Amino acid sequence: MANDTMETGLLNRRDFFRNAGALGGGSLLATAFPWLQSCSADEQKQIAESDKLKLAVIGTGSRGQYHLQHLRKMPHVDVAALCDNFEPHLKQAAAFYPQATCYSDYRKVLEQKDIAAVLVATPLNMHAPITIDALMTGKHVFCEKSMALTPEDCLAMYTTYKNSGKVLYIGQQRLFDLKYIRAMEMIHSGTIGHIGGIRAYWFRNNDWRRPVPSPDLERKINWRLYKAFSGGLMTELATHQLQVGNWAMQMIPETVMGYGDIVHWKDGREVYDNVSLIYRFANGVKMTYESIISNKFLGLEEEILGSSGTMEPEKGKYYFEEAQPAPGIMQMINQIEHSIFDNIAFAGPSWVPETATKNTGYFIMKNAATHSGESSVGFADDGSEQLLISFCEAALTGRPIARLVEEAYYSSVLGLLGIQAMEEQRIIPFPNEYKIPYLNFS
Amino acid sequence: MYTNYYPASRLFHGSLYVMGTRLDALLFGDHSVALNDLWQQIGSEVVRLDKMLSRFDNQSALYRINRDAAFYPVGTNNELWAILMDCKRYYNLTQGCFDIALGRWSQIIFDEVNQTVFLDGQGLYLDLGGYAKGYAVERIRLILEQHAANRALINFGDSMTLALGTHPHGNHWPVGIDNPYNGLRIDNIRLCDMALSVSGNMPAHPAHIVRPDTGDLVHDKKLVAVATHHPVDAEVLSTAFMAGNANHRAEWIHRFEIKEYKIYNC
Repeated sequence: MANDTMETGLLNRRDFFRNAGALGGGSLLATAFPWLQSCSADEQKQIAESDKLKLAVIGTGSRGQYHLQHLRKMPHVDVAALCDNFEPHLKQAAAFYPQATCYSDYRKVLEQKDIAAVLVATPLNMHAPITIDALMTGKHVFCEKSMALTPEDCLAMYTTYKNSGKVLYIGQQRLFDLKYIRAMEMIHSGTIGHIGGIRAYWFRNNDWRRPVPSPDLERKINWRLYKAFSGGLMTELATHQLQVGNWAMQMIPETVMGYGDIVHWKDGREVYDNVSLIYRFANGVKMTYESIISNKFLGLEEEILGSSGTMEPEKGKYYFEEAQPAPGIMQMINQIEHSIFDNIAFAGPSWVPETATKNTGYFIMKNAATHSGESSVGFADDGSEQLLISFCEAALTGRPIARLVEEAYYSSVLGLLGIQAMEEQRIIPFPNEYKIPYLNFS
Repeated sequence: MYTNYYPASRLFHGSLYVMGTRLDALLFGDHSVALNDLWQQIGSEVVRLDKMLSRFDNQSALYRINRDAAFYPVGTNNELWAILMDCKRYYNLTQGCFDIALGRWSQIIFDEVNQTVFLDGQGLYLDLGGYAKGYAVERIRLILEQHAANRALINFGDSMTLALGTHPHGNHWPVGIDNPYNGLRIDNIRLCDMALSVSGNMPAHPAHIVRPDTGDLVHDKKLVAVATHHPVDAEVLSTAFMAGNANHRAEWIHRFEIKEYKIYNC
């Protein structure tokens, strides 16, 4: 059984890279998406021969348990410790990992010399202290997004990471979602022309609350609703999508303005349930961001608007403005771009437009997993599992991965600057003191 | 019109709606501006032909014939006349299986001295749908030759493909054909300096080719693929193969330089 699991785990990894390779193999993949580079032969040997990665999971609530489900399938990982200061969550996790040692104080975990890496899935306010402490005690860290509750903390995490030489991953799983990778390849190769705007949104219709066993646990359980623990929609949802916008633009916005209000869920929460912001890039392109949690009709999307087409990566689709090239030809171009020589079906009986006005678009790739955005935990095949596998491999080899933290850093800080803009009702320029060397802020 | 240039692959892609379908061109070279000029020339030429050969454009020369030639002989320009004479040649070579009058060829009266056409019968009209794309691709081939473009892929409405040279990473252009009834691959054709035409029925168009001997529509669930050096031959023959029988096919093999033909029962 163990061997089967091991084989499955490794095969999954190989399959992922093979699929990624089919989408964007060769040198293009390596330069554009360094985090997707599979391990070198030497590193694979190192992983195979090394002891299992002793990992501690700090924060065993819903997201922590989601990661634990994935970790169970990873043969080269030993979940040696679990930590949560809310006992029911700790017990739930321990039921799956009876051999793991349980802790209620993360500092005790960090004292364990045999723990090589920690996964942090706590409320946002604890990301920075735990991550910084862990890096300083020589642990590799996987920390959920957003990075931290303040730009200062984000910067402190980044600086500690750079000085530590350790591996740091932030849970921006879209970076490992194949449909996003393919979409970005298409965008960056000009498939939809020049980007003129980005409209990102995440709409849900629920109060975002978890059941609370007793009133004194309200803030502990529903931490997402209180400013001491969370930035609300901007840190929990927007950061994912702001990262997509930056990724598409290959640029970081320079200013942000917006409005935030509590419009519908007037239940004592402190964070906005209704936000609308404009991020402006140096070239004049605007990325708008909206999140409303009292209507779910539009779901979630990052609509990337190009001069020749539109990309909707959440739905896994793209559309052309006028002429719509043959899908088979687009596939062949993709293969040529990746030095692949294969049969593509495009010959057949005469193609005639179904109707002159219908534009149903094309799928970015076959069988892409999509979701409605209603879940607060995670979704199948959204890149989370691959992100975690990649982290574990990087922790085993000790090799930090280029660009990953920078992508997460800027999306996190932009979310926080958005909150500042809404609270202060003014245009916030990206502060120089929070610029780290990356893209246009190099 | 859609264009994009992929510098790493030296690949230019142009796409255009014309002749009621879409035209895609893959061109190769280091200079995107020059390739764009070449694509514009290709696009202009095909738009020009559409304006002459379309049955649905009320400004086209063919439209004028269909509208007026039942009442009086309608004159044609030299190019359209040459096309009609070419259709006559194909009508004869295919033993009537290629017929731009859809089974009523004998009712077309050509005046070769004055280059006029008279349509002797009610409801009679000419349809170049089984010819025009082949002719357009032949014109594209000439333009590509003039520009010494020896590697290119032209896909015109899926049914007509011109493959010059080879795929950048192979020794031919690989072209897959899917069964329109179930989406499964039925064949992979290798093309190099070759044109491929595919005709057939599909769920959205279960019958659109006329059997000339009976005047009935061909309802068979089948596809025909014909590869030849000459795009017009390929275009004409793929339609003729749909309408013709085994005896016809045996004869045409001797009359045309067919590189490869296949009939698929779907």
